[in-house]
Amino acid sequence: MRTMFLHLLRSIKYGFQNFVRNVFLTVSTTIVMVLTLFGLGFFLIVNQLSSNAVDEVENKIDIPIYLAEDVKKDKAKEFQSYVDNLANVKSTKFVSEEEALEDFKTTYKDYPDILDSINILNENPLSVTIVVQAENIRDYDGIVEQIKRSKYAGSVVKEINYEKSSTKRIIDRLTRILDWVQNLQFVVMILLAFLAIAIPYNTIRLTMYSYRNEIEIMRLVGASNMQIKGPFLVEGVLFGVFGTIISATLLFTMVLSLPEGVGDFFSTNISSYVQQNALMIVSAQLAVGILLGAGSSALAINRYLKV
Amino acid sequence: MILFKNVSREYGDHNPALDNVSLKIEDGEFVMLVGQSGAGKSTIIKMLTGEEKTDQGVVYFQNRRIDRIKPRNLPDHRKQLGVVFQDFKLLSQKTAYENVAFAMEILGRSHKEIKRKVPRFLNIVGMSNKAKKFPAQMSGGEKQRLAIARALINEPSVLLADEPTGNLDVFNSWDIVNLLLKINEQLETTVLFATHNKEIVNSINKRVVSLDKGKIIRDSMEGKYII
Repeated sequence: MRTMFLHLLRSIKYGFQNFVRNVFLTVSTTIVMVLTLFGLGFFLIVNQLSSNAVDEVENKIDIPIYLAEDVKKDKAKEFQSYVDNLANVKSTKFVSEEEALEDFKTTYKDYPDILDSINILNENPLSVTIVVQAENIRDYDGIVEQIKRSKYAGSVVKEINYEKSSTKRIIDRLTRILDWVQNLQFVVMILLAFLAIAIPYNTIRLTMYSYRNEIEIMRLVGASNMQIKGPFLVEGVLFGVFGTIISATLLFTMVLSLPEGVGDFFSTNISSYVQQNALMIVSAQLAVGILLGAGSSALAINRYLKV
Repeated sequence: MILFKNVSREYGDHNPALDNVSLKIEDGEFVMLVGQSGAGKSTIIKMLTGEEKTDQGVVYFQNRRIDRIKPRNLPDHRKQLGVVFQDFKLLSQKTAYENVAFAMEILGRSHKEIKRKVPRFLNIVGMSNKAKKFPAQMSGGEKQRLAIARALINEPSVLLADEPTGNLDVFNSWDIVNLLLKINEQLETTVLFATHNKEIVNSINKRVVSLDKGKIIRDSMEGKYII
């Protein structure tokens, strides 16, 4: 137990010593680590912001279902609860004839011709409308299809403003954009993961190469693999820790100094988002940094640990 | 005791590093391995440290087959051996004292033991007054002395010296040879000394094992360098 403790202490001592004495290697490896972890933090933030932006757009999309004029309120409510219970329906809204007329008047307040034509009629030509919002914009096709096949089609439902509407076109376009963004995110993630592993690994491998004499000596005086690895693992952890400190500082400074317009673009207050999630971002960077540093050291050193 | 029994080892295309070598070295002996470069001297040393395997035959160290030592037990095996090389393999950023202490620290020796023993080892090799010097401030002979001090930290029963005078001038070479003889006599350490320095071999009247193209061509007590 005492020997293990001594070994741990010495590993830390030598790890720190290597880190401090080999200035060039330490600086270059830490820079690579900072870039990697900065990229990771940046990706996490952009990912969250773009997903917020997508949610925001999705929330603005809904489809109105116009019911037949003679449908009683009870029947309309029954239909609403049927729609509510369909899979993938997030919410429904009941819009009475009066509310529909009010909405209509508000929408076309700048078009007196249209308002006049409504006023000529003595009765309200609009019917009850159920406004449906889906969990996901890709779900609208399915929901519309189900309603069309239900017993309410024809008798209760007069028209679903979907297929021929601009909503359908917007949804289709948005779906394509989302698919594209998701593919892009996937590619970026793969690329980032590759860079995140390959670059620090190779830099640390170079660092280990410079220690090959030390490693050989340790081996020949009869040090066990664990005794040899200890200091290098500590050094790897230090690369991760310092990489995190520097990259997090840079990232937060950069994000918090962004002009407000950028946040509006993503429909989010970036600085408050970053402040709320700082711990999560730093933890992710630290975990990846330490894992990458120590893992790369362990992998790289194995090369010199041949028996 | 070291025993090689019909040991063969080939590198690549039928290029024998060792060809049916049988050799027995008793405890406390001083044995010179002589031969041209590529004769198989280093292969013998590497087989003893467990760095090289045999293709055929077996190598025993203290009645234990080296090829059967599991990788995780190799460090313990190596603690019984001290190894010295032509290129010293010192750490340039550490002082003489730190070079020896470093190896002991890595092996988990206590601070007290390190403080007591490092000066002793430096004294054995005559480097007490250079304890604070860095390798760059030492002569070739001093560097090799320091490397020998480091090889002694485990108080090994066998010291393997692979061309330790290869990089040294005549004066320093004799310095190292005398040191190895002293270690052999005073500490009763078995010394296996690989060299192709004819003058040294012919002067010290110790056992000489001559190798050529991986074969032992001569093995004589108080031998001469004849290839």
